[in-house]
Amino acid sequence: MTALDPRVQLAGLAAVVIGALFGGVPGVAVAAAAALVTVRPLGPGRVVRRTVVYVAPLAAVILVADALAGQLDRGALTAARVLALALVGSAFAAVADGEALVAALRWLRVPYDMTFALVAGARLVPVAAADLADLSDAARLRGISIDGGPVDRLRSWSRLLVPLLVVTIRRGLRLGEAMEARGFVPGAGRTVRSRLVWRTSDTVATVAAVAYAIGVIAIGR
Amino acid sequence: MDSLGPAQPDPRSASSIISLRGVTFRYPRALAPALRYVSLEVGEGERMLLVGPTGSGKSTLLRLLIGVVPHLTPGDLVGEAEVLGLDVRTTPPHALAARGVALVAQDPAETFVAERVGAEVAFGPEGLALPPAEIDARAGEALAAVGLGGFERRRVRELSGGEQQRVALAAALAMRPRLLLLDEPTAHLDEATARGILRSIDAVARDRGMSLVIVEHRLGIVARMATHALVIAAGTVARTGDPRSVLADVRVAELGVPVPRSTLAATALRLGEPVPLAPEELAARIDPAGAASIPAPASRSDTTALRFVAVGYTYPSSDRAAVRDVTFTVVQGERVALVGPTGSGKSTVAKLALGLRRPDAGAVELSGMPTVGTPMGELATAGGLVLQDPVRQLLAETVEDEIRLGLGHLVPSDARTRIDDALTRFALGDLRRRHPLTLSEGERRRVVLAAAVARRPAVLVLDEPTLGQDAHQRDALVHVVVELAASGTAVLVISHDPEFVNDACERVLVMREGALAADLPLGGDPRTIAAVASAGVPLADVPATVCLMAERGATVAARSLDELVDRVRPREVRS
Repeated sequence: MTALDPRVQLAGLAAVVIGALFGGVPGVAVAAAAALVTVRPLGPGRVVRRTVVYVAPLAAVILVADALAGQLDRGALTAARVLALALVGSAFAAVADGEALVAALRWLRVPYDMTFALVAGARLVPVAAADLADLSDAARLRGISIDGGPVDRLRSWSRLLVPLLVVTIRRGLRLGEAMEARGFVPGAGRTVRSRLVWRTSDTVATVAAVAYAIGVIAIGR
Repeated sequence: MDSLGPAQPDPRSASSIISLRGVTFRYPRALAPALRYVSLEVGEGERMLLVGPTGSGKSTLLRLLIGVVPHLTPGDLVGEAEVLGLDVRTTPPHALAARGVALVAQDPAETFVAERVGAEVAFGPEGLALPPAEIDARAGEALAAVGLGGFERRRVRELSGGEQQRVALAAALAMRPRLLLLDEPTAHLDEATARGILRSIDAVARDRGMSLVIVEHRLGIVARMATHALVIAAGTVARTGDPRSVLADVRVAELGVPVPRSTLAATALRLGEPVPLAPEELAARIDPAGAASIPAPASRSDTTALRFVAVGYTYPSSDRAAVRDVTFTVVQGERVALVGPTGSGKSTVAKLALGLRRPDAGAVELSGMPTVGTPMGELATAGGLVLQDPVRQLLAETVEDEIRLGLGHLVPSDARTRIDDALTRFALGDLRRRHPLTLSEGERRRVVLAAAVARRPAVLVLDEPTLGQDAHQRDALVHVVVELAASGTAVLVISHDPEFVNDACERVLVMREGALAADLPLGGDPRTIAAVASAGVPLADVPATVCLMAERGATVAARSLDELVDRVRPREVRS
């Protein structure tokens, strides 16, 4: 996927998401397969494991709730859809090139400040996760349980929110200062170094993605 | 404070890159100004070393020179401040950057804006709206200058600490600066990597005729590349001049500036000019004053505080083992350094030791409790951790509550006693009702340390405790470590600071690529020091001097500065 033009990558992502949302079981299966193929070069085990760990509880709640309402089939499909969409998102985040995406979004006339905020925000997510891990380690070493029952957990995690917010704000301020000290001016004209090169394979992939999305919607109707 | 020497340099405005005259700056709501009547001149191609104790105003001065102060961090600015001929008061940071001022920060990971190396280096030139071909050329040239040619497509977060700092340096160089500001660029790096970075900076600055202002605590290295030094204390210029003579001034060391031990020894021995800055310069000019006496190793407790047996661990998000087959034991009251390159597994060992991670293979015992199978609440009573960034450890709303937080297992009267002891011991009594996050960085560190010490853990881990600390604070920390160990706590120190390791620890564990590469005692005799050096552990100045003297057949045993000064004399030079 990474060999494709970033605009095509975005089109492919949109098509797969449309498929998962409106394409029933085949659409969900295609989305999951597309995610696995995308992360294959990285070793799919890591991405799949991490995604399933975080999303499985939500999927399980959906499944159980629908099953209790006597709609097991619907619950199973929705749970599978949630997992597949999470996998697609994780796979895209794992392989997408931020610089190329910025170039693609600028081509789509999305303002640079907005695209940059999006990419920088995505980059800060794992950093914030590491901060939270340090804070929770500090809490556990002071005898504060962050496991336990749901109420205990909620109380313990809420204790971590203020310091996490402070750390994140401080990090954001430092980043902002560093950007300005490197000549960044919000709203000012910039050059983007990444050049978009359209190949025949991009045309083929775009046609396939658009046809797939249209097909899913048409069949769904 | 009173000026220690020639504080006001002669004006050289004709070729001035920096010209400050009577600059005073006060942060909003601050009681005292961060800078007071600062005047200084830096000319084209000059390299200025900026030193001073913690909180002296060094960072504020750097932030003023790039325009962050007063544009992004407002406050009252009085006096004349010109950089590259531009008035800092009216020129915002981006305009200064466009004209040729660049900053390299302490922790590059906090300032990276892009995912890949090429994009990171190109970010600045993109802001100048240069044609893509020129941006490519600048990025390639800058990366080549720092030895990272071919790294354009690598992800910055997957690079080592040293490589990340080189990327930050390349990003600054891509702006083709005339003035490069460096704020402790090697603070997070191990000794060997730091030396490499500083050599690169020196070479690039000389090659391009750039002016430099560098804040750095590895003064033995940086003082040799600087054309002059400026000492700042309590916001005022306390001393300026040739770096060697500035560092040889005993009053500079008294301020808390981490003057190299080689220089302090030379001053105490009255070796005269040129003042040595490094062990190789000192060792060549001294001889033993008498027969070497090798001290006997100190006796140890035989009660185990921490035991690792064939421990292995792989993070769930990784396919590579972070720790492999690590076995060692630490007894009560022992002071052990854990050293090794960035990414060698030191922090993972610390987390395994405290039960924050459970081993995949082997076993860890903390104070007799296996970390697998023992609830975290019980392990927490035996282990303590002080991270390098205190903000990531502060959880309560007052200093007093912060200390109380870890004492829930005690009856209230005992907890009260320990809180009071900790507040007194770490001079926090006046701050007990303050919110920890409103305190200064140094005060926050004291709070975190107080909270850990109050719990009287069997094992206390200190992760890079001297980061951002001046010499006085470092000495105080050594005192705390020694005192804690004397009371029975085993202290495990992760540090890139050879002087602190030498002062505070009695044994060193060397990690390399997740494995324990060496487990050695620290001592003052040449044989012990040689063994530590051959394990790749960077030596502090005094042991390094002893080692270098031994290489030329001059045997002396010394570990501390006082021991060395007592046991050597100036070398007689025969004409």
